[in-house]
Amino acid sequence: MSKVLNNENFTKNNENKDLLKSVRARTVKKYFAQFKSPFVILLCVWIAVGCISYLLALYWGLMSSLKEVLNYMEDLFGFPRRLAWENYATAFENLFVSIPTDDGRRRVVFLELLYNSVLFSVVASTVPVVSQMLVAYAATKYNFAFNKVLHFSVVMVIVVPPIGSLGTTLQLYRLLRIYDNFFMLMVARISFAGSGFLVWSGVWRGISSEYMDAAKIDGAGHFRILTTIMLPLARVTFTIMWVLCFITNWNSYSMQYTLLPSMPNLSLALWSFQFDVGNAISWPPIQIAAAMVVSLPCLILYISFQELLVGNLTSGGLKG
Amino acid sequence: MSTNLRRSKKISRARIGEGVFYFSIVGVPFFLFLLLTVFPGYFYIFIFAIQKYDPYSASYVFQSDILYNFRAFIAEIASNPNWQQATLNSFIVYGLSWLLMPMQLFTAFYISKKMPGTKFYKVILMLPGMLPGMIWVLLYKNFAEFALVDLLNLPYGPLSNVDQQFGALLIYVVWMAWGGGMLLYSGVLSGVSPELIDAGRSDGLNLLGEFWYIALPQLYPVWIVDVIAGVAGFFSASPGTFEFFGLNAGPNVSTLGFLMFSRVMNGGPKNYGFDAAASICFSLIVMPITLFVKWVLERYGPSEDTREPIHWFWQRRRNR
Repeated sequence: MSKVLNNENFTKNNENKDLLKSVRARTVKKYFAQFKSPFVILLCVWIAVGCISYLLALYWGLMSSLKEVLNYMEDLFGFPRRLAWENYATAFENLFVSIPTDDGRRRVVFLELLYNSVLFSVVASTVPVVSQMLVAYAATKYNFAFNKVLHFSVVMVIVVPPIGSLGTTLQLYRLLRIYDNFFMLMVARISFAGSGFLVWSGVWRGISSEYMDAAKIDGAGHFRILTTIMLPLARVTFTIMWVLCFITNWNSYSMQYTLLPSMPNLSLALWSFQFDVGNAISWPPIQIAAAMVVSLPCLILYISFQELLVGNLTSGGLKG
Repeated sequence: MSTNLRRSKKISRARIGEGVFYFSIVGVPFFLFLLLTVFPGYFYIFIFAIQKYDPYSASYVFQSDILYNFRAFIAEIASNPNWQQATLNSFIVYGLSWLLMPMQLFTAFYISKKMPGTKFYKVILMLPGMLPGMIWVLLYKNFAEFALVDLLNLPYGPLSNVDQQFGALLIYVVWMAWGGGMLLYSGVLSGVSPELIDAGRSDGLNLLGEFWYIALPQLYPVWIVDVIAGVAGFFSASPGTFEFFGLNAGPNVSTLGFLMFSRVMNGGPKNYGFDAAASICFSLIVMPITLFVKWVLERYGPSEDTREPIHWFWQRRRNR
C-alpha cells in the first residue's frame, strides 16, 4: 500500500516538476520574445547606455578618490596602486567655507558644515512638506469658495512663474529681516505654492471622506479627525515627500549662497572647493573624495527608501 | 418651524467651526505666499523698475523718467554682444530640452511596459536626482579635463577650451536628462487600462503603434502642462553654467537666466532696477507666448473626446 502511495507521490512530483519546467520555459520564452522587436532592443540599449554611464562614472569617481595624486595623473583608469584613504582625511580637514563676520572672516569647517547641512535639510524639508500637506488637505476636504483661489495661485505660479525676481526678493528679505536669518527663512518657507500642493491634492482626493464623516458622527472635532485619522493614512506619502525634499535640500547650495551666507553647508563647500587652485584640495582625487563624503547620506537614504521611492511615485501623485 | 431654525443655526455653527479650522490652516501660508512670492515677483518688481539706485544715500529713489531702466535694458540687449550671445545660448538650451523630450517619452514608455531590466533601470536612472548635483559636476569636469584629454590626446579639456565649453555643457545636460521625466510619464502610462492595449493589439498594433496611438494621447494632458510651464523656462534655463564656472563664467556659456543671476550677485543693489525692468520685459514676452502655446495645443491636439486613445486610433485608421 505504502509503495503504491509512494509511487503516486513520485508521479505527482514529477508532474509538478514538468509543469514548473514548462511554466519556466514559457516565461523565459516570453521574456526573450520581447526582444524580437528592434524597437525594444534599441530602447533597451539606449537606456542601458545611460545607466552604465552613471554607474561607470560613480565607479571611476570612487577609484579616483582612492588614488594618490601621482597615481591618478599616471593612470587615470586603472585600479589604485594603493588605497589612499588619506584623501578622505585631507578632504575632511580642508573642506571649509570662509564667511565674512564683524571681525573679518571666519572659517566654517567640516563639523559645522555638517551640522548646518543636517539642520537646514531637516527643518527646510519638514516646514514646506507639512504646510503643503495641510493646505492641500483643507482645500480638498473642505468645501469653500476660497479653494479656487488656492488652486489658481498654484497654477499661476507654475505656468507664469516670476522671472528674474531674485533682486527684488533679496531686497524684500533684507527689509523684512529674513535675509541671512535661519529662523525667519524657515518661516518664509511655510508655503503651499508648488507642485507638492498638486501631489498632496491628488493624495487627499484619493483618501475617502467617509472616514471623516464617520468620525464626525462619533463626535470628533476637525483637529482630531486630521491628527488621528487622516494624517496616519497619508504617512507613506509624507515619508516619501519628506525624503525627496530632504535630498533636494541636502544637495542645495543656491539658497545658502544667495539668502543664507552665514550658514554654509557641505554642498556649498563642495561647490566652492572646485575653484580652489594651488593647494592640497585642488587635486582631483581629493575633490572627488570630498564629493563622495557629501553624497554618502543621500546614497544611504536612497538605498534605505529605494523601494518606497521607486515603487510609490506616480504621476498623479503618490500611492498613499 | 422651530426645529428647522434650530437645525439651520446648528448647521451655521458647524460651518463656522469648519471655517475657523479651514482658515487657521490656510491663512498663514496664503498670507506668506502673497507677501513673499506674489508681491516681489509680480508687484514689487514694478516699483524697482521705475526707480534708480542712489549710491550716495545707498537707497532707491523714484526718477522722473519712469521708463529709464526699460530703455537702458533695450539699448543694452541691442548693442551688448554678451546679451545677444546669452539669448542665442538660451535658445539652444531650450531647443535641446525639446529634443530630449522624445528620448524621455520613450524611456518612460519602456519603463511603464515593464520590459526587460525595468527595475534596475528605474533605480539607476533616478541616481542623478538623488545624489548631489555637485558630484556629477565634479566627475564630469574631471573626466572631461583629465581622462578625456588622456584618452584622445587632446591639448586641452573641452571645458578649458573656450570654443568647446558650451558644447561640453550641452553634453552634460543630455547626460543628466537620461531619466528625466521618467517618473512622471511612466506613472501616467502605468495607468493605461490593459483592455485598451489588448483592443489595440487585436487591431494589429505593434509596440511602436501602441506608443504612437495609445501612449502619446494618454500623455498629452501631462505633456501640455510641461510645455506650457516650460515656456517661461526659456528665461531661466541654464546648462549648469554656475555649477561649472561660478559667477565668472564667460559670455560664451552664459544664458539669459545665468546673466540675470550673475548681475544680481555680482552687482548688488545697484543693478536691481535694471534687472527688474529686464524681468518685466521678459514676462511681457512670456505671457502671450504661454497663452498662445496653450491655445494652439488645446485647439490642435487630440481633443477631449478624441483623446480616448482607441477612438483616436480608429479614427486615424478609418481616415487612412
